Amino acid sequence: MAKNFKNRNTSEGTIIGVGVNLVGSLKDEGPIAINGQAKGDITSQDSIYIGEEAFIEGPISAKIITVSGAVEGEIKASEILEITETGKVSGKIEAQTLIIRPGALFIGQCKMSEPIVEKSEEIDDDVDDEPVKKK
Amino acid sequence: MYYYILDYIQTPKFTNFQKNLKQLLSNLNISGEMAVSSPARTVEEITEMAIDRGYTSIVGVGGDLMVNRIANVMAGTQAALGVIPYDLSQELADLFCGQDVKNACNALRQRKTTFIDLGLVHPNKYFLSDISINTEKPAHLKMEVDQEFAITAEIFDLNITRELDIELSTEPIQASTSWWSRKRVNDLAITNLKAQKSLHLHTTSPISVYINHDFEIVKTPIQVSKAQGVLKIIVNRDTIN
Repeated sequence: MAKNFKNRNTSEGTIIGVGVNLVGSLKDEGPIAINGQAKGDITSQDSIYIGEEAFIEGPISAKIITVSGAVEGEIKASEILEITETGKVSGKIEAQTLIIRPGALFIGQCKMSEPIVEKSEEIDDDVDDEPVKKK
Repeated sequence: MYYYILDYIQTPKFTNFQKNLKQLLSNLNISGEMAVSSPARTVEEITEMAIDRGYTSIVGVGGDLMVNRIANVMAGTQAALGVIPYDLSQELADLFCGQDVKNACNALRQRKTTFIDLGLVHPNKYFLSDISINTEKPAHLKMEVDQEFAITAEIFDLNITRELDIELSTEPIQASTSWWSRKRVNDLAITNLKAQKSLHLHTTSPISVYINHDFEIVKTPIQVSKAQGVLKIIVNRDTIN
């Protein structure tokens, strides 16, 4: 009796453990970490971490994506995509900032999206308060 | 109109506790009818009787299992559930009126109420504390979540909260008598999910689903959902709804 889990951290996002096979559409506003297998659409408004032992088939999208396992399919990171030393990616990738570590494997197309620059009004410090006199 | 249901605990300590409690309730002017549960008269039967007799405040005096058994009967009624703690978990104490008996009695007198969600194992088993599956050998599980995705795994442990937070392990969690010798399960074997609406849980062969880790309420397969605002409870006056 009374065997308790040590951590209850669903408030910290979704975690798919080793030995778990997920099929379907997984969406979370918080971070997602996958250490098992998944087939389907994986979307987070925060970050996605693909662990070393994970294998993912399907589109993945998030602000920040880190791949240490294997991914087949489209990856779209609105900010940063990092493929670590153990990462293997096959498919189309899109990111604002792309990091591919030595030892990583990437086969496919890559599109670098431009950062969104917020336009601001230029302020001229030399402007005098006096009105311009017409000659 | 307070009705007190006492847990079936036959120890001198609890007998003494009852005696002191009666005095305390009398001093606060919230005395009421008291019924002690027993194998011959279950908590469920006593709770049904109290509801039928029109009591508006039904108070469980005891621990988690008892409170859950009362909550299961009271779900969907207008009566409010109060708790006077005796071996109550911190989780339920936080939800109701804390671990201090005097404080809990004062909260009963002030009778601030709120409605809370319960988990529901269809068709009619409501739960307040987590429900769980624990197996010695791995059990093949298929779980469909919100009709959005399904997971399959060989599991040892599964926990579902009334808010439909799901935690499962594909490795056995080592039970232990002391925290310093407890062996941690491999973190990578832990899965954490949240269902928004419902989940269906199937296993290859029927497995017992427990509440409070030791009271079997049902066997798999099960359908679980969140029953919103079905239980009225008495809370501390300073609790923010």
